[in-house]
Amino acid sequence: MEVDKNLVKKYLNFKGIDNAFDDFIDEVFLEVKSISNPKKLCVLSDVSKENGFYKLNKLGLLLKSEDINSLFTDCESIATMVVTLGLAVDKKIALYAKTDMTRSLVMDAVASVYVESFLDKLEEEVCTQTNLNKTMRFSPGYGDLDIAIQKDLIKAVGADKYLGIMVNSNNLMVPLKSITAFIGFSTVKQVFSSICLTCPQKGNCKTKCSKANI
Amino acid sequence: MKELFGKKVIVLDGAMGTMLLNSGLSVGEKPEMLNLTNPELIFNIHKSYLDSGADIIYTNTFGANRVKMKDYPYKEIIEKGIEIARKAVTQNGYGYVALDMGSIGELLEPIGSMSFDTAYDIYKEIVLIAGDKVDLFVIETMSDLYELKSAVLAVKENSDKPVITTMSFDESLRTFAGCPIESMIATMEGLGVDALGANCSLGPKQLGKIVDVLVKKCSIPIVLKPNAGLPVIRNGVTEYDVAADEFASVMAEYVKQGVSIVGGCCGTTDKYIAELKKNIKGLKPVKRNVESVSCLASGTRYLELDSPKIIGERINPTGKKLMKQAIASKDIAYFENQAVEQMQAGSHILDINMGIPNIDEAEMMKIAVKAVQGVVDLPLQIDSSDYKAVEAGVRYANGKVIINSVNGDDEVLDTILPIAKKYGAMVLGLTIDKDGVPQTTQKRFEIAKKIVDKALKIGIKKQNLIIDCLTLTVAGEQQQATKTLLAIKKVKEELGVKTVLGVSNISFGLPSRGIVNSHFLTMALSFGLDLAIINPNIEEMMQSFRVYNLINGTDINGEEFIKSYANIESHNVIQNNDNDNLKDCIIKSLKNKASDIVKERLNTENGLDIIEKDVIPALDYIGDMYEKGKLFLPQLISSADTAKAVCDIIKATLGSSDFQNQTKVILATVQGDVHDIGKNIVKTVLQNYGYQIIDLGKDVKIDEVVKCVEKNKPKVLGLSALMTTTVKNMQKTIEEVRKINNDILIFVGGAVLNESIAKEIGADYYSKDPRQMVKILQSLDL
Repeated sequence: MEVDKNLVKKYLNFKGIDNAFDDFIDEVFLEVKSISNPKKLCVLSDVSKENGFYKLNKLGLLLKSEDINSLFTDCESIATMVVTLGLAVDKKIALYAKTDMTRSLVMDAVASVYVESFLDKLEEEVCTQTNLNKTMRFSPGYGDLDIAIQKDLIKAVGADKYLGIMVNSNNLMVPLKSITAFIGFSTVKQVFSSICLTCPQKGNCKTKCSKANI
Repeated sequence: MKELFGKKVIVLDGAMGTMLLNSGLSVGEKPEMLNLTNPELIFNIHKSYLDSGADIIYTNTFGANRVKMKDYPYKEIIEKGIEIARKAVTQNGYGYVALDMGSIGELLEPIGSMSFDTAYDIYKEIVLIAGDKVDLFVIETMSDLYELKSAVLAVKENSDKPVITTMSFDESLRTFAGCPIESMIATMEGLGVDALGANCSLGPKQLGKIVDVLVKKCSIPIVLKPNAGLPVIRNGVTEYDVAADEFASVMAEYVKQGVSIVGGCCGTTDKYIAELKKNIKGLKPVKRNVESVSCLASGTRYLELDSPKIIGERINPTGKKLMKQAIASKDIAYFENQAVEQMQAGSHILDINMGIPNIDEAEMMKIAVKAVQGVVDLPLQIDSSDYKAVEAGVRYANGKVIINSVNGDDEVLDTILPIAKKYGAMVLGLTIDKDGVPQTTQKRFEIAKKIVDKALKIGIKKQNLIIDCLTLTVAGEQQQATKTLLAIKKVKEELGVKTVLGVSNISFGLPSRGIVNSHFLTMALSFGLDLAIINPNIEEMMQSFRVYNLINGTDINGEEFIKSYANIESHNVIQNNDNDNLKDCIIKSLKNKASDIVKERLNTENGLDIIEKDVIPALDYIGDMYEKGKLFLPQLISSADTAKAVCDIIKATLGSSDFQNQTKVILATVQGDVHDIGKNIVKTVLQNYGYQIIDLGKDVKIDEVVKCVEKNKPKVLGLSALMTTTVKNMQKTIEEVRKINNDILIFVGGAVLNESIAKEIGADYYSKDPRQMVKILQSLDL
């Protein structure tokens, strides 16, 4: 697996062309790869509606979000995906913050891109299981989906037990390089709507989805 | 109860959760609540397990602690849980009740913010509630060795009941927190648990490799409580892929290999336990040939002393002015840097000594141990002549450590050996006694023998003993050097223990000490020295060490040697080119070159002049380029890193007080937020401009910020937060700080902030990056 250098640079707000920097990203990526212990989990669940919101029947999880309602039109099933790189990456980034801040900074960005690439792969795997139309990927914290859902989500899919992910009192996951996301499957062709227009990060966003023309 | 261990194959119960799900009743979020709401159900599950042949049943209290169940009556839940289990055992006429404890549910320092003492108190509370009402304690499904250590101490210090501990490992043979099986074995055996092993996470078939290690290395009874295979979610229910008969037959094989306490975790039911009981019928605990190895451990690293190892000696104030200053001022960053530097130089173990006059050495030892293990994962050597400091060190260290030191003096032996025994530490014994340093090989040997005999007598194993035959100065007592070397050989051959030397004393009073030290090291290694206490930053010493291992064959295929000397060029963010100008070197991030130049120039120039003439202009230049969008954050930080290396060299010649300007800045990532990269880059840049930084870290509690402001009276406070949800903690922090100090200038930064939010939450300044913060600070003329 390669790392998307352009995305790393985007996260670092690095706009120049610099071969040495590209080499440095490669070097850091090799290190990240060698210390990661990537794990993934996915539960595809049929859905019902409860109080006007989607409920994942398998997990007993209610997605209290109008944005999901509008983006996941007429979904028959929704996949809950969780990926993590493991705690060693967090520790290494913290260690480099004491000894080599440049490496710490770049490693943080590289690890973010790396964990996302695992999620991309997992998404591909899930999508092969169904012929239905997929929605966009949606994570807690996007739009109006409160990250308070992380605790129940992690517990419901067993990511605490099988992936070693903990959720702190402010609903942040440890290991830090972990992602949770939903993707819906529908008989209706999905139109990506204007979630970004209502996002509090509008205009300030360096995330991957901002490269899509939404 | 204790007599049972090792005498018969003990059967534990199976899962509680699976049985609850199978009961068809709605369990709710906290199954422990059922102790109060549906005790009959829990009783019946215990009863089923006893009927199936379980010797020991676990109370339904896995998550019942004051953190995980803070909004529930957890004390009552524990009491009731014990009562139900006891009732089942009484009715059955046979069986034992184990009080079940799991992880607290919050991460411990250094990754999390819960202290070791808090974790200890939480477990202690549970142990005291259980008191004599249980037959034993079980700590299971653990991932963090440090948390497990706190739990074991809580049991051992507050109860006489046996304790068994199990951790959860994945295919990498480590826990999620990174603890290798060997570290668990070394640490838990040392603490004197009654049985140990693995539970949960994998099915019985996947545990083969874990069993192999346990059988080979663990000298106490082994526990295995696997899941019923790997999880599969079917129709919303997590199911497991191994049936009862298959489960039981794999487990019986493990019993034949040497496991002697067996049960089931997630997915197993009374059927599994009944099958298990059937399959192990007639089997007795197997006598195993366990390797008796000398080993050390940290939370994530295991170290066998099977070939010579280096103990880094730098975290010790003897003869080191800067370290003395750092201890007196509790300069944690200095300890951290010394630790990282020695690890990078090749140390395997780090010595920690906090012995300066007029301080609370035990308290300082605790601080230093936590600081060091927060940044490196090397095993530690706790070095003190104050027994309280020794105990503080071994208590707060994660893993298995060395105590440095005891000697032939009875009083010292009687004080320190019991501490080593209690915590399972290795002990370093100096061949010296009340009469001073012996002049003959024989006398050294006799003292060594006395130490070994006494240690064995109180139950410390031979493999946990290390003898120091003492290096004397060759300039003063030339004949003694060979006696030291001969004593090493004799002690090793006749007493069968490990040996250690503080090497560099040999050259005291001589010119070119490095030559003498490195050759003496080679000679000592040839005589069988196992551990060398040295400064690993001195390249000649490491060369001798590596060459010895290469030639002796302990560095297999010369891997270590080749890795160290194959001269792999590291990449700089910006390409190297020839340049003798310090300012340019900083701008281009040429760290090595810049370091060489500054060392040279310090011979003739004042360090502060160099900073003013080259370092600050370089930083200003790169800052300007960054603002103009011609250079980017990685380059800004890379230059700042280089400038820091230069400043560190200058600082060592000046002493830190001359170097820093008087503007104190406290930095913290606010409570609840663990994203501290922004705060760290601000720190790196501000340090170069001479600001005196007090870095409180991440997830910093509001009152901790307030206390630090109150104590240090800084002019500036910088707070960072990444999440919308933690900005409210930022606001609360600002409000509380303002109450005690209204003049302080508060800067905030982080992805979700901007000028207007900053004003709204009561900050004085918003800065989008470190460059902006520097400019604002400079304009304020503090």
